[in-house]
Amino acid sequence: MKKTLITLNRLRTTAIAVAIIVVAVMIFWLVRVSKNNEITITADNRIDITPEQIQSIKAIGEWEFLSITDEEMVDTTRSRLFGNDRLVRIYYGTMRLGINMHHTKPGWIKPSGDSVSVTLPPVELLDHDFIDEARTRSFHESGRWTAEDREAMYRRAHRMMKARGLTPANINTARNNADAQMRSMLRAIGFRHITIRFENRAPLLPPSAQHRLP
Amino acid sequence: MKQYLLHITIVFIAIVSFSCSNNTGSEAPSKSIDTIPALIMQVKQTSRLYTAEYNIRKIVTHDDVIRLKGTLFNKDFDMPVPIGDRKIAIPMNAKLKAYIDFSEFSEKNIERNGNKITIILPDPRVTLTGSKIDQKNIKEFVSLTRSYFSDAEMSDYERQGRASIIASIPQLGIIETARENAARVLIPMVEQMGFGEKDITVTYRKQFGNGDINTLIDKQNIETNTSTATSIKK
Repeated sequence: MKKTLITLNRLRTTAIAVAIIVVAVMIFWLVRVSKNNEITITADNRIDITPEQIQSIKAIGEWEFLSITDEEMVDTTRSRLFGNDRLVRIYYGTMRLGINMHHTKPGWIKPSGDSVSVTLPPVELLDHDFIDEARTRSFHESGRWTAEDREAMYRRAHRMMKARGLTPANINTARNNADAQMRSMLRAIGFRHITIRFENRAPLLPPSAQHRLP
Repeated sequence: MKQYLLHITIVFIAIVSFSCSNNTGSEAPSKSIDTIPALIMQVKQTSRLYTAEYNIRKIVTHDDVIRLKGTLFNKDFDMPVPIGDRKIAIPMNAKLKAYIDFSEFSEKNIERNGNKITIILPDPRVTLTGSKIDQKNIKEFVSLTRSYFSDAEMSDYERQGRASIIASIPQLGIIETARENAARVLIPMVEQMGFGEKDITVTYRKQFGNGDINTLIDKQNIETNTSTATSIKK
């Protein structure tokens, strides 16, 4: 009886020892494999692949003589019961001043021996869609803003850029550069006596530009 | 008594808040004020003849899936978190123009042989002159558990869309169109100078492959401080 009890005691001790060893090994293994554990929540910010569609192809003849690259910061606020909402965006655009070759009149170049007389159409803003809205940067936003709000900001940026860029000084610079460039080209062709003048009329506006004007 | 005083205080604060507010409704827009002047304006004298214009439309889409990523017991895992969808579609238009740069044009570009004249034009180049987001047709689908797309997030997707349009330029064939159209502008001009149509030749420096066309895209179109140019999903 005593022998059996001793044997049982030994077995129990052995079982406990084995259990302790197994638990220790498991803890050791868990610690080891958990060293590189890492969990992060991520959001993919890339856009999906979608096709680019050509909507129209146009033959144009726009001769640019001055480019004015502008950045405008436009902000808008809205009062609420507690505090104000605010949206600040930075718009980028390049206004191009020059002459539209499709607006020249018949007989605008009159050669005579080594002399030539050229009558150019007036210097104008070549394209009224000069804002690169896809480059716009959002500087600050509080509150929720609608498509109409953003559209209104775009129109304000458009007006601000035009007011800043389409100055008489810039138009004059473009005209002087047009004169110099045209002269240089005609001289390269072989003319010696060159007369350049500009038509004295308001530039023709494309239909798309008219609704944009403030 | 204490509760009574508390109620009176709350009502008083509410009345004062209402009377201090300028607007009758919380959503009524106030008059916008320009407080910040222009940041940068750069004026540059140029001589560029734009001869081809391409209008491109693209619908930028983004499916905003939150993912749980990581490593557990040396096993990598990547699974979507089912906390609701958030999707956006942004239609946009971009205008690409191809031009011939005449700023370096000189006698070297003209060859005359009696009544015949050959004009050797510089390589055409392509630039993105403008883009417009179709704000009114932007579609957003946002679950109740998710927040709306912020202005900064939308601007980021729009910049990626812009980069994608620029990346597609070599496939559009705009360089060839620009070359043909340049001849259509220049030949009538030289004709008016007294040359016969058959005596005028407009030629270019060389023929281009798709690899060359990438070098003809204006560098000003490619933003230097954004990582979005190359981050379109592969």
